[in-house]
Amino acid sequence: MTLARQRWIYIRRRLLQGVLTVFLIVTANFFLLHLAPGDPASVLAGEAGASNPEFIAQLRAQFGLDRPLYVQYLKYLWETATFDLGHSFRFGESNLKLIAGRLPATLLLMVSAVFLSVLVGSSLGLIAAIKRKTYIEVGILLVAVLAYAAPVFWAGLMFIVLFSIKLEWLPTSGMSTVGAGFTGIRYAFDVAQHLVLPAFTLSLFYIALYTRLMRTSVLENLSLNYVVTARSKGLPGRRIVLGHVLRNAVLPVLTMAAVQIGGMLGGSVVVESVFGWPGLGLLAYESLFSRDLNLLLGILFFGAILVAVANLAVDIAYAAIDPRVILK
Amino acid sequence: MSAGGDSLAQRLRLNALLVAGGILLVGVVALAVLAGVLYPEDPFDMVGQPFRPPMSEDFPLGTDSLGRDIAAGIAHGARISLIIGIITALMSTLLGVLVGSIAGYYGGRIDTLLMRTTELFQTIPSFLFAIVVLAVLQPSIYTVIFAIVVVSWAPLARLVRGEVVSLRNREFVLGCVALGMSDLQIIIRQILPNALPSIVVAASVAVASSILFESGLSFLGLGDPNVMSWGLMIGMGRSVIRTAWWVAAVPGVAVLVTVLAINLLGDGLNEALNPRSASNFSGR
Repeated sequence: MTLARQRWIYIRRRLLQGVLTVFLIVTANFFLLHLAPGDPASVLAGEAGASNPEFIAQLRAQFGLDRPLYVQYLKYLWETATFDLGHSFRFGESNLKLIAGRLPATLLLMVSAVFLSVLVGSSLGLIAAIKRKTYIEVGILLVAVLAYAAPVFWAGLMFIVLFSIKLEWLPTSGMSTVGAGFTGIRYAFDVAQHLVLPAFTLSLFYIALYTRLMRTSVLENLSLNYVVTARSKGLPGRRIVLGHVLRNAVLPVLTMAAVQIGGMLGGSVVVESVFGWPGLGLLAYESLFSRDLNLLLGILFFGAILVAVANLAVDIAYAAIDPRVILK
Repeated sequence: MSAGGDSLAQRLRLNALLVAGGILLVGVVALAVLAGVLYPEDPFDMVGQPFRPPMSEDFPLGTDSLGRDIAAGIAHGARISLIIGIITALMSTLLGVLVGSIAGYYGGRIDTLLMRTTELFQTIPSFLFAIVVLAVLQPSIYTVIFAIVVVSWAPLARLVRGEVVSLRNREFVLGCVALGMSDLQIIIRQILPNALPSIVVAASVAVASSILFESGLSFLGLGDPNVMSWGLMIGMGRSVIRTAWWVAAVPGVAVLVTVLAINLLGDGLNEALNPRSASNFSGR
């Protein structure tokens, strides 16, 4: 079999897997609604819409509750597959529009956090490894151990106390200064200022993880033969580390970062709600509070798609860069 | 790492990890056990003036916006954190051992089917999924445990499967097969004891991550509303963060110390039980 064909088979398998995950989520959504006490319409309407018979009637129609269960299930599958996610009673807009409107903010936050965690984590790990058995290493590892154990939302609150309230360096919440009407570069700078704390908070746990991973990885690489060769031909230490070890050592960090996109989406729910960052996570938090469950289910559906797409992109990149993965 | 010269230093480091983690954890467990003795009143009761800062008389950790004793909340919250951490880790580990050992031992189609299922569960956005489960079903200790177990058994299953596969064709196992031992006996009495060190370490990591997970859920108001928990306390302190930062800060430190203790113990156990493993992480 040719490599190109194997590559295609591999990617197709992963694509199928992503579709299956999303399908599983939709199915779980449907049965969760039926598991809850009361019929799905009254569950969905919750406390927010309970007093509004029109809304409940609309929901009953949307779910076709007078039909047999399997018909309802197929109807639900079909509607979800065609991105018909219903209407939000609370926000007075279609759920799809609401979600699509919040997607860019979440993507910005997540992409920043991924970059930040890989960059800072691998730098700190590299420094810890080459400054082995010094106080620098001890200090870095100590910070990493603490950051690894801290609840994200709590760290975010503490950053707000320190950097926004006490020092007044950075804004406490939101994505841009309300009413400032900035445009162009000034707007970008304003958003960047608002992004610093949420992105750093979201990446904190991953920075800790990658620091430790990178340190182990660098130490392992330093004991390999190619480093001995480089040393024996008289290459200076700095060039060995930056030119050879760094590239090899960072691979496990990148692999790990790719795997953790799903986890980061979960972290963004709490981080966004702490910082009032107007993304999917904050929308999930708001819909949770107004008991707008249909919207919440839509967000989970979109989250699953987001993770599946991200995983697929990573798989394709890997299959292109390193043919060994598809042969496993 | 070179052997010999390093071994004493390594052993000391190992002991330091285990001792530090152990002392911290014993402290948290003692607090949880003695919560009813130290603070017999309901931690939801108002016992003093609101917003007393830490180190004030009668209230070493201060009071919150409703005049509740933060120290009492911390002591009672320790219970729920530990109970949820331990029960979910045990259940996830049992499920992981069950699925992983069947997949690894029998191989073939069963293996493929079970591992594909496991991968599916691993790609679910876990926190969002747990939020939805708890928002639809009413939050209680049972639903919180259910939600956490559903999203955390998969990595354990993969780990166990890997261990079982590597042990499956070793001579002592093949010997048992030749002697006519049943599959169940071989798995339980021969294979799993050899995989135990890795399973124990992964289970300890699972306790720590469940505690973090639970604190996140109760921070969002998805914990059992009748039980005082650290996440709930942080959530309640959030609205008064400008005037009384300690209301949110103190319970966060409690979570951090507990998770830190378990992680240190886990790292120590890992170095003691799997001395050659390069990484201490089982991944999340």
